[in-house]
Amino acid sequence: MDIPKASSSSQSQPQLVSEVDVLRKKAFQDLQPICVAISQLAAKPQIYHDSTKELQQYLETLLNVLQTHSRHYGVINNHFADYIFFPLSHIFRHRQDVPDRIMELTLDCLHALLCSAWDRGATVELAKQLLILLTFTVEGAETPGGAPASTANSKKEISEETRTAAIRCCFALFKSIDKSGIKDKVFGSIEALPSVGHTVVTLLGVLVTAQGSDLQIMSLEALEVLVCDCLEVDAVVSFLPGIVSQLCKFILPNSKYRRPFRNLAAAIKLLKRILCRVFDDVENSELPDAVGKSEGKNAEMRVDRTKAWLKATAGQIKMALEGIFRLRSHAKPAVRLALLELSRDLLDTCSTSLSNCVGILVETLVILVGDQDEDISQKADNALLYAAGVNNEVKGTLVEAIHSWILSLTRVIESNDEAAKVAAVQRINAGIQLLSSLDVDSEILQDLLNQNVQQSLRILSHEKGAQISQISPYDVSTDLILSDRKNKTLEFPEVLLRHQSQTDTLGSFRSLVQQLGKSPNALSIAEQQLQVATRAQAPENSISLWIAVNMMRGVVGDDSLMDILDFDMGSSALQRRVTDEMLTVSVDLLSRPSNAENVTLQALSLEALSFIAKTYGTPFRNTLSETLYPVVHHLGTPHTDQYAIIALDQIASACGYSSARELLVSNADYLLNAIALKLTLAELEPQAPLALRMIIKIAGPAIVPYLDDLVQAVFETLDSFHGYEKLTTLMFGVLEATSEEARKAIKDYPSENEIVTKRIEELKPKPITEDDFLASLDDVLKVRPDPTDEDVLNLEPTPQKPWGKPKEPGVSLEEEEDESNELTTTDDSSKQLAEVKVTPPSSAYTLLQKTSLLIPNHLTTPSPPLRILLLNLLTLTIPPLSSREDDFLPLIHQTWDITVYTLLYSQTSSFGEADNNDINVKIAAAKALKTMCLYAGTFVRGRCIKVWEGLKKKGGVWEWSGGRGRERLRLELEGLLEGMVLAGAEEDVVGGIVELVGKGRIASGKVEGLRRALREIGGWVI
Amino acid sequence: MSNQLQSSPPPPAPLFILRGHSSQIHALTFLRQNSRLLTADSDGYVILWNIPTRRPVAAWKAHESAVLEVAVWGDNKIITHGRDNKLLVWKLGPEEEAGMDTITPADAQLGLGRTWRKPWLLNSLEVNALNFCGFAASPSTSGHAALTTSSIFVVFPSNMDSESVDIWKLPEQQRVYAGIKARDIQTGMAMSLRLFWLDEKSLALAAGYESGHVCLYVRDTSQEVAEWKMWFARKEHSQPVLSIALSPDHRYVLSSSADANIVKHSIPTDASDDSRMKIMDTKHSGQQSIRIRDDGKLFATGGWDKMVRVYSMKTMKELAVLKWHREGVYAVGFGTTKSPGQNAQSVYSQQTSTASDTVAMPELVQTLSTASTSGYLTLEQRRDERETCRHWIAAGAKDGKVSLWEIY
Repeated sequence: MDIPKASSSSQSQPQLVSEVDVLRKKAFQDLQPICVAISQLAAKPQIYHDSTKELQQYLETLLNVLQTHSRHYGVINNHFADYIFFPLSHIFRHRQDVPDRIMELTLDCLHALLCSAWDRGATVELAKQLLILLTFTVEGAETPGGAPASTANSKKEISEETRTAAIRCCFALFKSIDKSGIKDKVFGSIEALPSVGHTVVTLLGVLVTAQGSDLQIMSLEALEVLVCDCLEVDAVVSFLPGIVSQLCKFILPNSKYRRPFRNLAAAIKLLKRILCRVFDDVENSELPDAVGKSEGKNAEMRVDRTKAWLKATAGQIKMALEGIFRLRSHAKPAVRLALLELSRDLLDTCSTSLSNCVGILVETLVILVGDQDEDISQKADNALLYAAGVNNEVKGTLVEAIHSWILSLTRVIESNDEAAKVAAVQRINAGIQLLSSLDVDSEILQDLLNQNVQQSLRILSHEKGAQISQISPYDVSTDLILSDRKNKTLEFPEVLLRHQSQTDTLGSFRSLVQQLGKSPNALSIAEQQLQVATRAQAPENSISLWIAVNMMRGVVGDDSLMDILDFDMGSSALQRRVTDEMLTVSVDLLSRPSNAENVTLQALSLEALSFIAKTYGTPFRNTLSETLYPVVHHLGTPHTDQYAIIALDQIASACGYSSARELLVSNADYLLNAIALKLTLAELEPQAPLALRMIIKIAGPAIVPYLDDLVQAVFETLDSFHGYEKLTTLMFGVLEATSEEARKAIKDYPSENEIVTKRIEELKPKPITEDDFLASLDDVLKVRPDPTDEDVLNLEPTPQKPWGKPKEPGVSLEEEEDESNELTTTDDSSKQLAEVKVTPPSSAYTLLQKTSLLIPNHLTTPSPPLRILLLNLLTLTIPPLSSREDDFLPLIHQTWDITVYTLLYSQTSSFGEADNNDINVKIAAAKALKTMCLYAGTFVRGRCIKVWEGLKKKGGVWEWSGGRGRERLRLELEGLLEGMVLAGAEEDVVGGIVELVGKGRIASGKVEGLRRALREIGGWVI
Repeated sequence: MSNQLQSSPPPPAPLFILRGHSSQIHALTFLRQNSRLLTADSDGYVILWNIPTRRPVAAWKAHESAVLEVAVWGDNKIITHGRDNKLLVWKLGPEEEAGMDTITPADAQLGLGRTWRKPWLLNSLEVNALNFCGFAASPSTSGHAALTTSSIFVVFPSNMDSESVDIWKLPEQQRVYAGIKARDIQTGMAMSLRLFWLDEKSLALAAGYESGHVCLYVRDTSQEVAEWKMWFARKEHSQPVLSIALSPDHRYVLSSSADANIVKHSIPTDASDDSRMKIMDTKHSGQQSIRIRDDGKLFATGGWDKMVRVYSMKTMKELAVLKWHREGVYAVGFGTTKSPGQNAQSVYSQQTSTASDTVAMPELVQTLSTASTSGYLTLEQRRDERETCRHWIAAGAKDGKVSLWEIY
């Protein structure tokens, strides 16, 4: 090989002359000995093994020095470079024999030269020479110029590192050829075609087979510079089939080689540049039909661009693209972005030349519009809008593509690939959006889509596991309503398909349907769907309602906009009509009986109502008289209760109430009305009483005056369904709530502490003054001599005064005297009351009274919980009822015996072997009796003996120990004893109790109360 | 669902129960194109209800004891007649509603409010209220269907004698005719009255009496001095007449009584009693209140049997039984069946003015409403339109509840 003659270097920058010269001189001094040494070693016909180590050291030094000096621009000039290359060229000659490390170093040195001296100053000769040299080095073939690589054996497998270094040199070489302005001379002639072709093929070969990422990327870069910057289009055309097929081979998934995603992106980018260059519409606008075959050397390699060529090539390109576009679902955004740019640029520059590919390009872009990466989605959207704007064909293709996707939607949905389903829906969604942005009239498409969406959802809902399961999305309880405002309103969970795997698919359908809502015929579609929702069977009805709701969401648009535009004012008449229709349908659906089949539909109806409330805002209050109860009703329905809570929350916030609680309280009248109608119609769904109970609880005593007919209805229900345990419990649950509030409405009765004190005061033995005695004697005389009066009393169905009841044993005359003023005054006042018009009781009082009078009838129930409920209710109502003695005492008379019976002789078991339920019943009975004793006072004194004897007969009560239940019962029984003492029980009873206390049998905390009572009343000091 | 469809249609249910009175309802009437209902109870309370919202817009204690009858005079006047010997005319038009108390007597039980703001009182007449006969009213000149004239006649039992009735003119507060009664028969107290114009000059009075008689008196008003001629006196009821109703065309009156009969009395064209009438035994005694709908097609009774019964006017056959009240029904009333027309317009213009605070951007609204093709109505207006177009029946009962029904 000839050593290039050094050419004289010219310095362009005079000021630096001296400095650069000095540096160059220095460099030469450094480099000369190394070059000489290398020459000596390498110039030999053969490089012996023992000299390689030495050679390697020299080369390392050379590279080092070169790199140091090439930092200064101009130090290594062409002349100098030629000098340095000379020894290197020897090594290239021996490349089959020298170790890889030496080749690599040699190539690195060459690279340093290419980057410095030859960066802009490469000569044509040198370039051609290096091109061949490097190509063969990369290929690992025999010396060029000599016999071409004869056999495979003669080729030496070179390492990837060496190859990388060689390709790096190629890259640098191509760059320098380009920069030096000699590319026409190097590549332009037809004679150069074979060698260029060789290089291209070699580089492609390396690309496809390279294992290392660096080598792949290096070859891509080298190819890019060569094909895109150096070669004429005509030359590229000649190699195009090879380039495209090899690039595709690289890009497409391959089990043998792993392609890092960045390299994939780079390869796609390269392909893009090449295709854009070759198929540029401007370049190919006036292709000849045919050209005469040019003669000469290498003519067979040359491909002429003709129309026929274009047609044939475009077909192949399409196939290639089809393959590559399979990567549009690639996991890495970089790859998808590269595909996006490929499609975009091809559409932009080659839509005529590659008109056959427009469809696939558009499709790819549409899919990428639906990409989850916002940047990609946005770019794809822009690209398509631009392309469709300038090119009608793109628009048509778009419509066609969407049409076929819609048709194939159900087929995709039937498959098992959830990702594919999501992708299919997203694709259609993106397409429809584009059409609307492009103002394409797509009404027919939307109708078609609507059908297919429905069909698809139907298929989905029939899938296994799609059935509604009882999932509580939040653990929301009714307490939430009782509490005041929270930070934010609750959101509805997806209700249509709750299977985990379907979430994404359904989500994509939702955005698709909402997108459809933006189309002009959305309202009429929604209207149709509402019709289906009312008429069809499950699950069609749910699907239709779901579509209608989501479509209306689309119609209304962005939630945030709704605050600005008043819906009631700003919407079209049709939109208002459909919204009203939806309201009617939802209320209707909510009013249907709740069963497993209706759960989804009703949950969706709740969602629909909330949505309508949101669209209307505060004016929605005008509908609450119809809409509120159906929602509240579902608070008591299993499965939909959660949705009802969310709905209340959303409606409250939409209507401008501070909380769901305020919503309910402010509209309690509507709710009461609805419940009252439900109760009268004897619709025995449990929701109405449950809802009533809740409303009473949150509305408080102010609601009591409005409850009378509701309570009446409850009473009637209780009468008609006596013995139906569940229903009765439910109804008494309501009565418990009403009683609780009615109690608050009555104020003039003493608390338990007050009544205890009062009783003690009454029973305290007083020193009787003469006046007192005479006064009481007078009273007695006044009462006694009038037998008619007593007769009247006797005639009454319920005796009101204990002494008026002759059957009652043990009421002696003396005691009556002892009872002194209190009773006689009562007598007086009752007489007065009979004469003067009695003020009627308040509604609250009447309510409590009626409730309490019902209790004895139902205490015979075998259900312990109901009995406990009833007894506790009695305990609750007695204190306020005591405020009107004339009404109160008959009540005591009616309830006393059954309560005592319940305490002593309840059916299930005897005292000794009571189970828990039974003990709880007895506890409740003991409490009720104690309350009666306290508030009825001496009225029940005679009755206490029966209780006392009963307790004694049961025996052993005081000896109990053990279970907590029993301990509590004992406590309550001791409380009852105290009550009996305070009611002024007979000597026998008090005596017995004194004995118990005295013997220390009463060990619990109640003993103090008892002791105090005994001490105060009877002077017992124990 | 299918079961429900197969079985006979469910019994009619009330649309709403108005809860607010705590004593028995004695009188009620719809007004302002069904947008309001006026109810009055035996404690003297009067409540004006907003029908679309079903909430009180005004409540006050009009009388110290039971209210016997109420009526609406023109757009903004309300007449109430109480057992406290007073007949009062109140000014309560749409403009005055805003300042009124809405606490109902039922609320007041809790001591939430004991004093009520009363509407402006325009007239007050001392009247007889020894019995339970409520007043009746008529325009003071012929040719007007309703009480829209600036002056009206009111009729009620005489202060001297409960058998005879006096006619007064309002707002002049003059007694124009006195002592109208049947001369030859023992009628007992007047129980129910209807005053109306037979033709341009003939003023007619239909009266039902304690004895069971229904009498028709007519006077020629063109003459200064003339007799009230009794055109007929019929005793088809064995018990006191409780209520009489006048047909919209003034061709007949219906009477109900404590017995079970309903009698349709055709009004003859002249003084000769041609005795055309129809008697129907309903088998339900004690029909406290009877009313005819303004289209003359239906009438309804409210009775001690707790039912409201709806009958066809033509066939006198029972069409529906409205069962909800647990106690006797004391008052029934029909809403108007006339289409809203101009009336509705005025109602709406009132309401939009009150609701204008919600309209934040009038310009925007204007553009939007002009943009929409059809007439623009807010949700509230649409609801009001729907509500006022219903064919209402209201019934007030002994327990103070007022039920609202929509039927036929």
